[in-house]
Amino acid sequence: MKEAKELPEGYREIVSKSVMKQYSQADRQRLGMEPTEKVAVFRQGCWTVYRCLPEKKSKHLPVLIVPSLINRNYIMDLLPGHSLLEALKKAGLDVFLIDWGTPDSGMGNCGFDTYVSKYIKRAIRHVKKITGAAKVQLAGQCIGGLMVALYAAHPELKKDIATLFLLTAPIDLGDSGLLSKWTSVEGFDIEKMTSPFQGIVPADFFHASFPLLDTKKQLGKYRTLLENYEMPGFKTLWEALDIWGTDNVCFAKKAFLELIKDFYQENKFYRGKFMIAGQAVSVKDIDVPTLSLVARDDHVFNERAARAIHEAKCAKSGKLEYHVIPAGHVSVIAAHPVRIESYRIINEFLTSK
Amino acid sequence: MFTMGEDMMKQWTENWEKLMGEHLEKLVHNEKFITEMSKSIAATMTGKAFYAKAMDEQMAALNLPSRTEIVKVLQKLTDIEERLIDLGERFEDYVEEQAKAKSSTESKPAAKPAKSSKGKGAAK
Repeated sequence: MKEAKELPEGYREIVSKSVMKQYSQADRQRLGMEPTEKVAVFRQGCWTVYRCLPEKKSKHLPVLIVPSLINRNYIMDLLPGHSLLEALKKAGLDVFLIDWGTPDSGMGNCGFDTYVSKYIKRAIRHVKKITGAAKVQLAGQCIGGLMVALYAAHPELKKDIATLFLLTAPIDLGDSGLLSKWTSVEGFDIEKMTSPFQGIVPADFFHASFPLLDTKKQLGKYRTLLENYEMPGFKTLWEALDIWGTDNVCFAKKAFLELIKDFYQENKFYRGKFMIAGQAVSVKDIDVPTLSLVARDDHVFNERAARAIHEAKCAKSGKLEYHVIPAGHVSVIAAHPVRIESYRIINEFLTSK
Repeated sequence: MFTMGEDMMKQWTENWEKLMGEHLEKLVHNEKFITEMSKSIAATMTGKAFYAKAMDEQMAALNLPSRTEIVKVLQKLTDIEERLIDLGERFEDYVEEQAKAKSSTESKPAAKPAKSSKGKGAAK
């Protein structure tokens, strides 16, 4: 009988760091995460607007990317070759990115209305001022996608934008997957559940449920790493994704309550009842040229949640591009060969303006 | 290549993962389970909120700022920051408008035809 093989070198350390969530800045540097250089162009409280370097005059309208409120924005700039920002820069676009930072208790009264009609509006104002462009191309990922859709649906705010790019963005949250199922059951009282929290809802509170969205993948996580340990590049990607996945952000309490009550339980945006800057907005009112990139195997929001964009004016007037990519919520832009196709579709759309 | 022991271990792990995965999958989709879990979390959190309120009252009795008060101050600061930035932007817009208005008045003498057409309109 052959001798049992030793575990590969470094495997134990990686697993230990992952289990204990003990990644550091040095780990990010070692892996070469966030390869695109950025410079802060505006700051307010905990959030910042970054411009991707090198600053270059572009013949296309500038792009402002709004990330999700749930996770960090560097999923869009994970690793060299696995970076949407890198791909956009290579296509000659002037790219700006919002970093929502870590909200503090002082932001407890900031709901989606504040994020959309004040913060995103302000970010656009600065992008326009810096570039001299009259309009911007607005992009949003995940919950950020929902936020930019709210922006584009508002009759006044939408005047700032030339195109809209939705990346795995939920529009109709009524029957959007497991999360909507959990929040719709009798007895799911989010007011009571968050009653001890003041100002912010801690990341641990809601991220604890995330692994349950894809239990099989979660259970096989460390086995997958072991089996593919020697595959070139696999270890780096695994670690980078794990760092991002465990780098959770807390939520401003008002925004969190709105996400659950207004969007999940009452589906207010889809039903045209969510208020932005004193006006009810509906997905039907989005009329700017729109690209919606949807992940077929998304475990956070199913494809149905994004499909609602077909009810918008832009779809009726032939200004909607809708692509379903055979990938997951994150792998649509990183860690999967299909990302190259995603980058091509995105660049083609954004460089047309 | 795996040894016999490793093969067995691999097989066992795969079976465990499969069984656990299926079990958990059923559980997270089970409405009754989700309802009971939700109720349980809500009850725990209500208890925690009660404790936090009691702490606040104790702090107030000791004449010390409570968490609620500190959060309120932080929220006021956020509001003040927002107001200041908003005012700054309004001022910027005003200055820009003034500059535009000034430049258009300065270039007015050159725009004689416009003056005559205005006159015509007035005569009508």
